[in-house]
Amino acid sequence: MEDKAKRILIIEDDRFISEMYARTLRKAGYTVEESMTGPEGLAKAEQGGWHVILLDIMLPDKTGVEIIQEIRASANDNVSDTRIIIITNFEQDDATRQSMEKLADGYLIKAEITPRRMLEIIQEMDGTATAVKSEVETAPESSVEEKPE
Amino acid sequence: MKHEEKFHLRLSNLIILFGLTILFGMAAAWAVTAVWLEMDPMMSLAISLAFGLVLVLTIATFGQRIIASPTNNISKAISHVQNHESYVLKPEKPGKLGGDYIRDLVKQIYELATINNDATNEIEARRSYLDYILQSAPFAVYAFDKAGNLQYSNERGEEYLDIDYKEALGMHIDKVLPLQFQSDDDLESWVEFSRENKIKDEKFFERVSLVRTDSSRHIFDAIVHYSKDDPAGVEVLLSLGEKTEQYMADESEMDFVALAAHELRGPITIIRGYLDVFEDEMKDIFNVEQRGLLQKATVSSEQLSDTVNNILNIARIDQEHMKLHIREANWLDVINEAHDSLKLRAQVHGRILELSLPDKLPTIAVDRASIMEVISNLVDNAIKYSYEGGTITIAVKEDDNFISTTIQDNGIGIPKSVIGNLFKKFYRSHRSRQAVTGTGLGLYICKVIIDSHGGNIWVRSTEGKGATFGFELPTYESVAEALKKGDSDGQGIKRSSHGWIKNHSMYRH
Repeated sequence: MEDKAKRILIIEDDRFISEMYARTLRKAGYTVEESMTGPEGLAKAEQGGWHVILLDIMLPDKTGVEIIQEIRASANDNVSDTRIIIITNFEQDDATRQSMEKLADGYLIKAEITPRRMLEIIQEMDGTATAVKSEVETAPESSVEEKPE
Repeated sequence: MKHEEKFHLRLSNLIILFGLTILFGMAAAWAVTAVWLEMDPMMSLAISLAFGLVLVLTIATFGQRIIASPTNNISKAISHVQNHESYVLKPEKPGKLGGDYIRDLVKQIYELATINNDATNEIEARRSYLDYILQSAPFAVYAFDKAGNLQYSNERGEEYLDIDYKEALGMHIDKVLPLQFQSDDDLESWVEFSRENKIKDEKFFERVSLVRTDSSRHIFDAIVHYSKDDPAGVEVLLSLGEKTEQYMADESEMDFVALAAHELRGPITIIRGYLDVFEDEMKDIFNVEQRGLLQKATVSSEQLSDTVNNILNIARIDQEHMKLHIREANWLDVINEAHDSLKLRAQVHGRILELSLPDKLPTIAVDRASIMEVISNLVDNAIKYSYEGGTITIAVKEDDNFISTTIQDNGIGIPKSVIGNLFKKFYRSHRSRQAVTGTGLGLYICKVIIDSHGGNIWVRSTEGKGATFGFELPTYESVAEALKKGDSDGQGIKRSSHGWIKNHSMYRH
């Protein structure tokens, strides 16, 4: 277990939404920072040291796609370990899906992901989930999916 | 006697005549000089030989014209034919030396030439007729060779090229016709596959898009024909039918729905999110009753979200954008998961959600996200049309190559007159006379999803005695072969209707 609390960055222009996720994640012990614009978010992201970045795909000034490309392109070593999860209320079309699957570590519909569910997902990624509610499928080819713990 | 035989006879007669002429001539010369002129015998002989020589030369000079004239006629005939000059039968006056025979030969030469011409003309005529059809066709036709270079385009096809036709010929398809396909299952991969596995094949592609240099966009339906050893060297024949207006209209409709859904989802996110936060932070402060009040709002906000998803699904189904990711899954896990997420909903509405499951089942082939929506819709349905305190039972059993799942309630039931229409779009049965909200979309979506899985959905009911909705889905084993050819998605991505997350993302690098 690390001494330092894991840091999460939320880049989302709707303050109500970023606050609700931030509140629940802070309660669970994460350090959370919020950013409401693209350029500011990108600057913070490039500082590095983030465990997870939650990124809204539809920001007013810069698209989430551009941001994620720039983050990935960043030479900062700290950044390359960061998991980036796209959060949005748009359904993705095939073209977006294909490029997103290469760049992002996840794509979640906000209207379906409550704060506690978001916490669960992040904890699952950490492997620190206490009650793993496996509500999604596992898809390595033709193997039977694993049971929830 | 045939003309040819006559000719040979006359020719030999002529030669004999020439020979005899020379002999007699020489004899006459000798007779005159030796007998009449009483010259020296040696002198006579010399004069006879000289005379004989003169005769030979004379005959040779004039005789060769006679002998050669038949061949002259033949060679003239051949040159007439080559130069497409008038065909006049020579010799005009058959007779003398094999005239008939030569006329026959000349006639044959002219006839052969005519047949050849006619055949050529017919081919030309047919080719220009086909060419006319191709050129006036309302669809584009392109031919590409084994290197993927353009060999031919009809007139309509030229309209879609951004490069001048003459320059475009011989250029690669990627440069002259940069088509975009709906998925990775595109022309290039199909042609590659065909090269290794097929002699001839055909494929239909829907909604193929082309963006021009002026940024205008065309959308086509395409039919492609592959041929391994075409004698003309055409490997791929591509035909494009213009469907821009129709598909653009579809797309803007879909865009509207997607936009509306997005707009609705904003407030839904906040409502659900803060209810969740509130529930979490008040769970130790509220009493049971107060928690129950909050749960009603939570459950309802979930149902609101489900309705938005239903609307999006309907739009996708209509536009045929619905894409399923069918994978092997453990059905008992899926049912348990559904039960977990729906039991609260049932409880809040005062219903009991029960399970009746076997211990073991073969694995199943499903698109997990959409199957969850089916179960959710059917359970919602059961909740709506059953009584307070009622039990809703989800039961599963194996049935040959299928796994069948039923959702049974003991509610108001469905009259016979209505059952046949239940799975139709927008249908609201008499059951909706009760004060119940619903959009009539749910059952329609269920049917489309189950059908797309290769399954069946049905309903059994007696009015006043509840209803049982059921569906069966194929076991994974029964469809495994067909699935393996389908889209491969083995990147360890977990999908749901909520989006997707990469499995073990720490292994991303």
